[in-house]
Amino acid sequence: MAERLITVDIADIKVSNDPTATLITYALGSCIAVALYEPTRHVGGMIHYMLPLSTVSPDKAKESPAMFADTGIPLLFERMYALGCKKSDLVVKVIGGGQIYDDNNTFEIGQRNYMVLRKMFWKVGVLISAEDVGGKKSRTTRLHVGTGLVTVRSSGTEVPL
Amino acid sequence: MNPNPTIGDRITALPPLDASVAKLARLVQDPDSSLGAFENVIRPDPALTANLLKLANSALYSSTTKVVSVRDAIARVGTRRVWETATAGAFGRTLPKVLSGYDVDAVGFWRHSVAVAVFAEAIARGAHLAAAPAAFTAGLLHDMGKLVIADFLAPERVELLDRLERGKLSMLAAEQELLGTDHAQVGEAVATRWGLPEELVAAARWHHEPLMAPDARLQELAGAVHVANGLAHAMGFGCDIGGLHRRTDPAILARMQLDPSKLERLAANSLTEILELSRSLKAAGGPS
Repeated sequence: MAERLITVDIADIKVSNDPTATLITYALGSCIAVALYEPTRHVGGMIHYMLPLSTVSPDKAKESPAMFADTGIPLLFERMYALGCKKSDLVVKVIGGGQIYDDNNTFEIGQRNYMVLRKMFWKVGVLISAEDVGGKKSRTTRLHVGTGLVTVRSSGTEVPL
Repeated sequence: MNPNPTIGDRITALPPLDASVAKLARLVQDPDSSLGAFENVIRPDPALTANLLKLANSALYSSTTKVVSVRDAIARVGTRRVWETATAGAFGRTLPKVLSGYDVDAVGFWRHSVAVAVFAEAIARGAHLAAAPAAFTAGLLHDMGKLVIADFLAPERVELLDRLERGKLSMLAAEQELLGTDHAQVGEAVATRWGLPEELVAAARWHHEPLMAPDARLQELAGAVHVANGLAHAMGFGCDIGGLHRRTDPAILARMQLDPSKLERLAANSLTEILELSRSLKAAGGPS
């Protein structure tokens, strides 16, 4: 079966129940990708969000909700529910949130992106099953919809998560 | 052909930027220049004409009327954007398919250049910098030194990664250790070779150490590019071998009065322009 590559752009959400599809997002930097997988229905979904909170630009959030964690993540879950998934069946993986060196924390975008996500998940009882976050790495990640396999590539090496 | 060219040889061997870039730079500087003078430079250049029309009809200028003439396109985007478009097209044509030493292809390098241009302009305008009109082009061209040293860095890949990851060196310091020079010094030489204006030479030279620039105006311009560069890497525009091994100077952030929420707002509000410009500027001029 030929693999069908579906690119998740920056500030974008994609979901699929095509077992030949692979969702891929490139160059995460401080941005974060959340990969969701439903193992019985073989449904996969991914968001690549840039920033933690939509309060910095409510206009942009209306136009492009996947830009922010607070407006984008709930939308990703809704898109999965629309394909028949239940919250309790979802396998949740989190990738990205790297940091550049920063002596007085102005560029803490990666860490803030991650903290907001943790807080949201804690409030609604979502558990993260695996994550590869933080550090000086820029990551590219894939989710194979047929198998649920997630891989992370950085500095030329790709490993399963 | 020299069998073992040095970095200096490579700079000398670089093809010149299109003559239209320097002509348009002079017209933009001159308050008395007419729209007709711009037209005369643009119309003989089909790639520039195509880029300009594409830009004028892009989603960035949300207009229902389609622009078909060069004159109308100039009027819609403004004369400065015309010069910037010409520079982008000319620069795009000098890019190799892959900058091997940096593990980045022309598409990634281009997106990074455009992102830094858009962010630098927004930062410079927000801080009301005297040099703000040059910020877009300064950002676009800041990494031109990489075009020359990429090949020299390629055989040092293992050493380079070791210095970045274990030695915690910045990209610039690692380049210095391995090559005895860095992409900022080489960028200055390239900008001089291309006959670019003084601000653009200085921005390329000092974008990693903005406070070393010779005067306040140039420090601020290099500073805007410096912060824009950090933001572009954080947002994933221009992922290369250096990953996130970048440092942003806190003194510059303070001088521009930038705090986390201002930077985040700037990033949010610039995304559409970055994506549109990297698309519309590349078709006729830049890498495809």
